[in-house]
Amino acid sequence: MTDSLLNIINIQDLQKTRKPSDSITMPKQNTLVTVTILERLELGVKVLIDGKLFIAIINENVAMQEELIAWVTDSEKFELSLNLSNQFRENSNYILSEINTRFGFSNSVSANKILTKIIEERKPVIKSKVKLLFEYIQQNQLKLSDSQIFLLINILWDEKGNSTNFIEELFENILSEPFENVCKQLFEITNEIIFAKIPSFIIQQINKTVYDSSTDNVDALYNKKEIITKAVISLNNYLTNETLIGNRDVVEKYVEYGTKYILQKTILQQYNCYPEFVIAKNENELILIMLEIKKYYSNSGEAFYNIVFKQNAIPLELKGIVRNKFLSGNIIIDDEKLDVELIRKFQQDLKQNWDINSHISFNQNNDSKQTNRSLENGINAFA
Amino acid sequence: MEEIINIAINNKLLNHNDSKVIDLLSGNDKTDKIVEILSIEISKLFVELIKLER
Repeated sequence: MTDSLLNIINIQDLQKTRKPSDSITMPKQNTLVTVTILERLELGVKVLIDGKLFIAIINENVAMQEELIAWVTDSEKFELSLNLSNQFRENSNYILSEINTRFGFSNSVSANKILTKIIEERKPVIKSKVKLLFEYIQQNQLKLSDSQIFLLINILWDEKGNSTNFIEELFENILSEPFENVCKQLFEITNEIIFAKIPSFIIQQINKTVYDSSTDNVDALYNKKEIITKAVISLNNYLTNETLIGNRDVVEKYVEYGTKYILQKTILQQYNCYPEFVIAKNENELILIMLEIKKYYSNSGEAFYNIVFKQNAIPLELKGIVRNKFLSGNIIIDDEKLDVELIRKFQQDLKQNWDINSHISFNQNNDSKQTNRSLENGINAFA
Repeated sequence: MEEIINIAINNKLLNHNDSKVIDLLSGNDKTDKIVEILSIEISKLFVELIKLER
């Protein structure tokens, strides 16, 4: 009855969605669109683009009613990708400029640095979250390290609401210092505390965090969190039970930084980020190596790993990616110090012990220089 | 982890009522075999390369 009345709006007509065949109004393939996700349906997702309703295929999970930027990967099936990392690698300036224009963000260096990090972390560019992130950093005048920005993005994107209370608590205390600083402090304190007048069993525990190639104590390379946890608990008990302690400052500092290290590492691991520091013994000195391994998943669900190893005292860095049991890496090293046999042995060990093939290239302290040599081991799994 | 959380509370790195933070810290430790292998093997390589430098 009501349908026959001319002035009654037909809700079904209003909700009628445009199909891929409606090519005139369809956004073009390989373009950016500003999209609001309205509803998940059985066969797709109901979205709003420029005031028009569409049914799109979106594989990523995001909250409803959020405004975000998507890439049209297939206009026939009308498939949208919320992960802009591939397009960003090809034309970062265009992507940044479009996001800033569409969302009304300032095109500043600091804002673009944050946006870059969001995209590189393969997170969807959600307007409300990005805005909240900008405001939080600006209001608190935060100068954050890469690892802090990484955590801030991951924690904020995981939060259901748009409150920053939880994040404020974290960044005022546990995360107030970047993980790299915490590790450097712990390295310095380790250098002191192993000579301090404290019970020998605690010194022995702390010594387990130092890697010695002659004994090959690999726990110092991978299970350090467990060892430091035991050392912190022992030192804390020692502080609580003893009143006359020599080197109290050093002991307190180890407890403080050891605790920060354990807590930060635990949080980072929740987001598939595995940073670590290695204290290695070299004759009479201790050397520090920093490393970070991050695990990501491709759109097809395949896991891959980005790796960075650094040594600050000398020009030595390894960057690489591991996918499908294949390591593709580049070592930046002083060419005179390059020992090809050593690297060949490393590749053989990877292959024999872990069935990981590898391709290692080298250049001379500069990413832009052409690779001058490379070593291949096994079949290229990317092929 | 419980003991470390208590030490963190005593050292004012954490408030005892930060239940969300404590929940985040109390989650299972995420371990990964590939991360373990790469951490061990590349660190060993680095130690040897650094020895050559010094």
